Amino acid sequence: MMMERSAISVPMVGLELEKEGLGEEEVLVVRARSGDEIAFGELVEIYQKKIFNFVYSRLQNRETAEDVTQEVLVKAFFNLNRLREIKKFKSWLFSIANNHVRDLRRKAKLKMVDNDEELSSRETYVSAVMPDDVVLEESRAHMIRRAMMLLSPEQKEVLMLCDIEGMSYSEIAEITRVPLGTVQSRIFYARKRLKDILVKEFNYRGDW
Amino acid sequence: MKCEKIQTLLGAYVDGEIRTSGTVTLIEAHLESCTSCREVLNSQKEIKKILADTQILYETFLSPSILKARVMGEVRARKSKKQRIVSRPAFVIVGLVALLAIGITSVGFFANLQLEKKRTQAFLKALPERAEEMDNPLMPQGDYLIPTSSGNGDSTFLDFVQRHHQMTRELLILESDWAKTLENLQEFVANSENDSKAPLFKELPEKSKDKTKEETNKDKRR
Repeated sequence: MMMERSAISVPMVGLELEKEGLGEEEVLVVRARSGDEIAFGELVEIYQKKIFNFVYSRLQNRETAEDVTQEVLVKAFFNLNRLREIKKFKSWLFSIANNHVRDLRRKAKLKMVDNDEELSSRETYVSAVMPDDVVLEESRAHMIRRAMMLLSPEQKEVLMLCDIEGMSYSEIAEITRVPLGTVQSRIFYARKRLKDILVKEFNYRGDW
Repeated sequence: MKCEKIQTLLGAYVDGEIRTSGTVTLIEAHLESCTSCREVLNSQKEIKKILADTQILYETFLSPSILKARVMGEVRARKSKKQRIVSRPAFVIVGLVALLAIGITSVGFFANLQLEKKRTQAFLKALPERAEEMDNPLMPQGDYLIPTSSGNGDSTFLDFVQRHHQMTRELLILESDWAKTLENLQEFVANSENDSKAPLFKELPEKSKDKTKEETNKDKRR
């Protein structure tokens, strides 16, 4: 009897991850890391829009942004074993997206609006500002989206991460690979510029 | 502190990112008395609020489910591509040779195993499960059951039985390992045969492969 037991025994796989203090999403990350496609599919559902949003705000080309979003998520799946801290999945994912966007911009062959920061902001300025009557018809959200497009890539980047994704300064510093102080001043000046654009170009009356 | 210096800190102040309480006190004291800095603070707050409230979600051309399907499809495609890298013809041949060798060996091996199993089971039936009881004077002792021809040098009956137990245990472990290896190899060979038949898996040169990918993506969009 003893003999049979020892021959058949199968090593147990630790499945009780919740007990280790991991949240629902982190459990998905752990499962996906071991190759579980269903778990990864759920992560894709959670993050595809956020990543698309972040990428599109900087590339301003839907098709390219969709392709980049796909590539970022696929890359994430095959590199999950490199993610050391499960809890940092979100900022890790965004940093992959950020690197990807930077790569594309470096290659510069793609016709992107914001290849060159200064020049591009000026160019879009002209094209993005609509005649007054059109502006009046625009919904507030649409207006803010348009105003966001007039910011420099770095400014868009920090506002997307800070005010829309709700990330901390240290997470943003990690993703964008700049010092904390730079993150701090970028956020300040980005908001300041966005306010100016809203007031001057879109006649927005806020509670300033 | 001058207004300029204070103002650059106001973004971080709104976000609760100023960690030193001294600085916070300083900012708050300044804000009490400075209207223009208060205005800057308000506009920082307002922008943060607008961005949080407004759905700054850009619409994709693709619906979320299609985008997800594309991602998962690509994951699966690359997974099988990774597996295919191993299944080149040379590997298939090596696999077949190994399979044959293992097949021949295992026939003899399994026969041997069955024989050993039977012998040990006979001993097990005659024995109690716990080893302490082996020393019971009522149990067969010494060379009582040991065939003199065995020539294995077992000095006691207990040694003899334990050695057989050990042997069978090892054989059973080996058997399950080998069975697994055999199964894997069969699967491996079956897969690589399927692969070479399917035209889908044809290797394309690097550049044109990318093109095809883009084209298929575009097709899907339409």
